Amino acid sequence: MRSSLLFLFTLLSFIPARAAELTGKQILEKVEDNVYAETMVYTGEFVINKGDRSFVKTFKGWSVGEEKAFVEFTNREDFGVKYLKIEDELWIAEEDDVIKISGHLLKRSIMGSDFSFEDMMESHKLSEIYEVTLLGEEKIGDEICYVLDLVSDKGDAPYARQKIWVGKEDFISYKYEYYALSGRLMKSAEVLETRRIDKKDFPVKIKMVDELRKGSSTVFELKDLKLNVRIPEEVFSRQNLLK
Amino acid sequence: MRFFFIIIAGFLLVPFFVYSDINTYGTYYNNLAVMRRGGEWQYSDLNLFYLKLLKPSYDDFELETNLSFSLITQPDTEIQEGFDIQRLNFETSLFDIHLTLGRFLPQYHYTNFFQPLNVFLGPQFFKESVIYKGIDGLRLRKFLNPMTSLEYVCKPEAELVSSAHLLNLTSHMGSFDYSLIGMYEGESETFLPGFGFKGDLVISLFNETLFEIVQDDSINVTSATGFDYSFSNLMTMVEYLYNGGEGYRTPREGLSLAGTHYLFLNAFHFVPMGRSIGCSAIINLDDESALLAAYYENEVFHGVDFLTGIYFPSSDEGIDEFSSESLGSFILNCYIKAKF
Repeated sequence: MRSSLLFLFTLLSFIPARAAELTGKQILEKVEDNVYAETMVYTGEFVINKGDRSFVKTFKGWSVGEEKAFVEFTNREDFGVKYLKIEDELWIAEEDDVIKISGHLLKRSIMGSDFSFEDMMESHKLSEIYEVTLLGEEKIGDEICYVLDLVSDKGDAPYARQKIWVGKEDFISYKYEYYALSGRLMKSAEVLETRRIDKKDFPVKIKMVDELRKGSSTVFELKDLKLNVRIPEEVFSRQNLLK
Repeated sequence: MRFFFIIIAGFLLVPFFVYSDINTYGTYYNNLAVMRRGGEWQYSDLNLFYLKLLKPSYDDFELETNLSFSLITQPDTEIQEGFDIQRLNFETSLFDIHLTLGRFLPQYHYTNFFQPLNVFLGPQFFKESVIYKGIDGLRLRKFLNPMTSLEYVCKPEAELVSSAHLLNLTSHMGSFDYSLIGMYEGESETFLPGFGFKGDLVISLFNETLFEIVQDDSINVTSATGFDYSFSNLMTMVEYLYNGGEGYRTPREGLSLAGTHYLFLNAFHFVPMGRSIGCSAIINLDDESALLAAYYENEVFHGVDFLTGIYFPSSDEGIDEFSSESLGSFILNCYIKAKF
């Protein structure tokens, strides 16, 4: 679910905009505007790497803006596992049981990946919950990027600090770093591939690395992505979880 | 035994005549417990198979069949070998009403260990609830809106007045899920109203409270309250149970609790590569007897989970549920779950 949001964030950050002298907040808002879609329908996969081991989980998902999302895992081992997100709340269906995930259990890893429930659930705009500072410019591959420093003193931000590298030409966020309050680097993410859909360059392949766990990384890939299609309201229901 | 195999064979074959396209999903569980009891080492082995046959949805019509059966080996006890059908049911949706018919397991809970609202089940020592045998009956569920459902469960008896009937209203308000249940158990003429909720109030909070109002007007109250909190990768949970009243209690599967006040403490730590280690304690606050446990869990292959735990009753003097006489002075429990 949030995978969709995080991807979206990363994806959306790839939309071009011409700018002269922009502030850090304006750059971040351009990134967020670029990634926004009324609705999304997608299929995709997680490739989870744990040391020498690697396994794949496939899923299909539906989302409406940043408010609602429904994800159903389709690989054999995780058949029946579904997630429903409405606003800031999350439910999981597994083996004919529905559980509301709340409180600090949201910090748990989702499906053994390097994404947490909290990562998945983030539905606030970064520009609303972080103070943004433009640190300067750096080159990521062939792209010249703005380097943004995001700091939050609000308890509901999933990380105390983030650094984001945003393409100067296309306003795609190519790289993320996530820090704890102590300043320790916890996770990092980079966009491996983008795809042009409905005149937007969406990140469709993102690699998340848990910097606290050696050899642990997850590649999230959207195989099929449709934007702004009609989604029946019943998709985002407890009824759909129990089906 | 032959009868059971005929039922299973029938269950497996029927769908192939009914459906042209069908998806089959299965899970195998094995639970091996070794314990020191009465100066001897004993063991108990549980094998459980769970199969789900699912017909893809066409034109709003779905049909799902579930079967699970267990084979228990306890060579040092009176149960030499036990074969049982845990679940055998058919599910379908017609006119927006979801119907379950056969042997199924109704589950209602917001707490982690003590679950008063699970009116058919009792607490359990070991992790998985899948070993609970279902009830034979009927369930109808209707969604009143996307987050609100009304459910009726009937567990019929040969004498209709002895049947059990349950109504469950589940909904969502604010940041809380909640349920209201009411059950009438005809055999003992007991009425069991209850409620439960789970949500956020700074931390994650949950509660389940069940009343048992018996024929002679005596009332039992069972209430579990808890919260969870995490420090980075360390997760902690606390649950308190009040188990008061002297009246008749409806019999349930699982552990029966003889005390009035209990505490369940649990902490586990996620370590790299999908593994976790943890410890827990179930404490009877009336006499301070306890069952302590340490466990380790790992996904050894994709879709294959392994869990092992060591359990210690705190003393020989505890009441029945935690005494080493009934449980053994040392219990090693190994559990494997494989999906196929």
